[in-house]
Amino acid sequence: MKVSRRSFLKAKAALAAASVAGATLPAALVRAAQSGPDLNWQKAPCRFCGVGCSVLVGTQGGKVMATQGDPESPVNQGKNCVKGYYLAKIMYGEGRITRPLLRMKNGKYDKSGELTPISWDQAFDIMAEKWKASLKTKGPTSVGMFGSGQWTIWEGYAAQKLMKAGFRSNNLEPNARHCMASAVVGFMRAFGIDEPMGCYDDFEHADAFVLWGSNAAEMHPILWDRLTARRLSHEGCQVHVLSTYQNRSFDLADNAMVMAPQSDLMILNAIANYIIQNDAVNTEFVKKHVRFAEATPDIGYGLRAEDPREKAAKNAGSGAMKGMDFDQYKRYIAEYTLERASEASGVPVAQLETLAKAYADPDTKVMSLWCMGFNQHVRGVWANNSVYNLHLLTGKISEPGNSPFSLTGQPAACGTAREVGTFCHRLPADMVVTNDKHRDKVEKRWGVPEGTIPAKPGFHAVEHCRKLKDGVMNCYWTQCTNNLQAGPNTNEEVLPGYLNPETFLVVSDPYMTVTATVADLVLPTAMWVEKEGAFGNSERRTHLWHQMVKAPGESHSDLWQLMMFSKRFTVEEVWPEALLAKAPKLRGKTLFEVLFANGTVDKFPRSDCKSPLNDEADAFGFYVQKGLFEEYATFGRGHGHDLDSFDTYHTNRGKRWPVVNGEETRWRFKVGRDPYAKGDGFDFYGNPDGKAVVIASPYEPPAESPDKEFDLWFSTGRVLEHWHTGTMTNRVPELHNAYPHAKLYMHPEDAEVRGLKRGDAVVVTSRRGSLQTRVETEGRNKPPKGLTFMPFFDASQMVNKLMLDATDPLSKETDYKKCAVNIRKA
Amino acid sequence: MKHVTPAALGLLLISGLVWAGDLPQSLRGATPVSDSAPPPEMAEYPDKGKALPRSLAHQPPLIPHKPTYPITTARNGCTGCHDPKRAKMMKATPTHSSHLDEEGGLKNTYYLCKQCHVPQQTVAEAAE
Amino acid sequence: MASQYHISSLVVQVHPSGQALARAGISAIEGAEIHAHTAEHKLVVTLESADSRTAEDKVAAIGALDGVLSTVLVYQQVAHLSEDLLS
Repeated sequence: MKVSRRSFLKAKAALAAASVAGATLPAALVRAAQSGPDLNWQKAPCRFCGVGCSVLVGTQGGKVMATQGDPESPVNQGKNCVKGYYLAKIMYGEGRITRPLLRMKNGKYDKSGELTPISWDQAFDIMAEKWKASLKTKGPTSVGMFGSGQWTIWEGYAAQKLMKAGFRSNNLEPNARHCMASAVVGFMRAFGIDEPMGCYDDFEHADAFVLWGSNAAEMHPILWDRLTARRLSHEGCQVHVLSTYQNRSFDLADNAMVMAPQSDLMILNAIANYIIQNDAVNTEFVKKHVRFAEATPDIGYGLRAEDPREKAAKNAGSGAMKGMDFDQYKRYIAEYTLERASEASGVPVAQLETLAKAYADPDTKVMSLWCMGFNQHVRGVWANNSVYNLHLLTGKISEPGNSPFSLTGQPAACGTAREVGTFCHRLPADMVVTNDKHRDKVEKRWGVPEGTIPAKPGFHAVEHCRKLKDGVMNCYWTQCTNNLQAGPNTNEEVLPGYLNPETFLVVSDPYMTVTATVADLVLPTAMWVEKEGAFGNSERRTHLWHQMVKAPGESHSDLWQLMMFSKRFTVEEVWPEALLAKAPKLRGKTLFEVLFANGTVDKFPRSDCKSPLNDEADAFGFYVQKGLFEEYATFGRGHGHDLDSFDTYHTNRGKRWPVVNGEETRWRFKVGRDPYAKGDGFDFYGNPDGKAVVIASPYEPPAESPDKEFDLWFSTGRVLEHWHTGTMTNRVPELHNAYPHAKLYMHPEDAEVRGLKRGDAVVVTSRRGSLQTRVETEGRNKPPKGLTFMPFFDASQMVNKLMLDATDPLSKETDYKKCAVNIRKA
Repeated sequence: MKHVTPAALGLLLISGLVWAGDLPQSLRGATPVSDSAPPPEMAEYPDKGKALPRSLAHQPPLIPHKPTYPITTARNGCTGCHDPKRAKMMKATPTHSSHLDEEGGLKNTYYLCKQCHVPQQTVAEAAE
Repeated sequence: MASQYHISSLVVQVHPSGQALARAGISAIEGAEIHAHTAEHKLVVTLESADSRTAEDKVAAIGALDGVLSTVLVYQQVAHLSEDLLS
């Protein structure tokens, strides 16, 4: 059928309205809308945060021309935030890298040379040479890879296979370590299985919302809109907001609380104590579904072992727990009164009591929300567990509106980093490298000999930089992350690691990031709808998209790069003879043949892909994405992580796992709602006894606090208009001009006593470095006296050089929210 | 958008490594990663302004003035001028009809205007 | 500046008893076309216009018609007018 452009446009418009109204259009009109010559609209998840909005992407002439909120998406229901509306521009900013670039002098690789265009063949030649030499002389632990919760699911999965089975190195990490690790450890300790039990539908069911260290108004705008709608339309709905400074989320707060850094631990325990003291414990629920345990105290700060704070810690890094009963728990937290919490936090007792009552009142459905304020915290795991304690004591969990909900930073922090398990200790579907059975299962599925995957966890993200600096790890590949701007303590750990003469740093990125500027080899990379992809959002929703346009120049996706690189190695070059002897059939094969052309991954033909564009399928001759997805999905099916079939996801707006018989699960652990939950009421089946764990933990101080010399708190974070390090959003003119440069938010009186006023240039100094910026005493963030805040998106003002690389010792996630600085006029 | 002046390009020194000027640039400019340059002037937003041009289909209108009007549960500072009933008189862009409920009021899901509508700094250095 | 072609679509909620009146009113507006209706008395309407101002005026005109309870603008696109658009 040939359709004129005009009738096509009209049909498109009618179809959009009909889908909103729920009307049925005449078939001819639908056909016209679907076959027209104009913009071709296809669905894709947004490229930015973990909310996982769906957008419709309009392409024409090989270019993305427009995007719009997807009316069919249950997440965003046709809306976007400001970043989403500018998605059409993120691929077309200045500074796209289009050719591989190698640092060269006199025609050869030289760490002190200039970045010089080379071919892909030359790029893989030098990479393979470096990797082989390193593996031969120093072994698998000398190579490492740093990826992201912005990898697509199959990119993370391919990296997992190449690193852990191919190179036999567990030094694989996502930058989600900086973002979600504390949430993961919190889930595993309490529930034995990762990711939230509830979902976004809770926003339409809760009576009270509590924000613990989350500025969702800016960071999760579409969810905040849903929360706002509930607050404005539901009688008696209350919003409680806790943060170390006043931010946009306070605009909607009924109970707005500014607390001292780290005092959240005190407040959480005080509320648990209040619940017990006021007989608000749901005893039946607790008796049936909960057990109690005590965390090991005095666990240090994840710093280098020689740091005095680590030496002073009695139980540095210990995650051991010992069982206790309810009465012991009750005694344990009895010292945490509202009065004591008020004294420590600066929040008036009356406000803490209002908050405590929301949890204690059996008729108030509570949704707790948290993000980086909890996760980027030297006691982030304890904070996560302490909020679960409140929901478990009251039985307010796994039911519509009763929901402890951990918000996610990145679009596939859940889908890729956590579910695929691209961490140095993890394997797919919550399995870990330290468990013999888990490794065995993975090795069998992958068709590699027993003993291929090392049993010892690799280096975690913060350790990567330390090990590069110390010359322990030498070959390092990063994809879709900008760690020189985003990593902690950049001047003392990250940069020295990258510039170490022994380091060969490979950076894959669409744009010239700060990290790419110091790389030895830069690989031009396809992004977002320039490749076929899959993300998994905060509510366990897996969603897919097709490739819609070609990447510029010689750019290729991370997936293509990983698979092409695997062709450069034979098993003999990377595996010891003892391992090969166990699998003689693999002799002489390349890692590509072992890992990807293995009969499973290459099972589906290119013709299964409905999109005319699929560069990876064209390059390798089979439907790579489907093969990887289906192989990966076998790990979770039947184990509570069930994904639907690959093809289904291309036709819907995603489903929330476990997906059993095509049905998604909205509330896990609740009998009748979750096909895996058996028995009476609730079943926390992640733990063998079916019980969730209330974990008691004490208050412990931060790694660094203000003193005489460094007299102010310093915290970092994002702003609505920019995504992470601004690589994409700061190249969109409208977003750049909305919020062009970072600035230092401080209290007007703090400014005044230093002789400063709004707009003054200042030098901010911590024990680790200093930077110049300008003072802001107005605007969206209003810190209390004694605290300052500065966003990290601005490449010209790299705030993370100020940060201490202290982590939660259990999750190894950096605390980006607390360090000490001083400020003087520039 | 230009973050680096042409004069600075030839001198780009990043952590002691020489950088070829004709290659894609980072948004950092010429300052070595380990150093810190004096900050640019604070962004300023005009008190008033005419509606700004839009460059994309489905693009929410930009805010051509300061974004200082508060939006709280008690009050939405934007509707004072942008409510369709007042917009003409206030010479303001009226709220899009997709944002309005049956009574002509702002829908709750569209209550927080600044989630989508953002201001633009006066010296629009990047608007090209 | 080249001439433009604005296409928008809206859902029009009409009063159950005012449907005929509303339909007549909409049909009388230039560039407006009704494509479908639902059991809940919603009409799917497209609007063709030469510029955004006219489009907005037409939406307002529909909203003001007797029998119309509300209008929700769903979709807008702007295209440059060229020969194939006139076919």
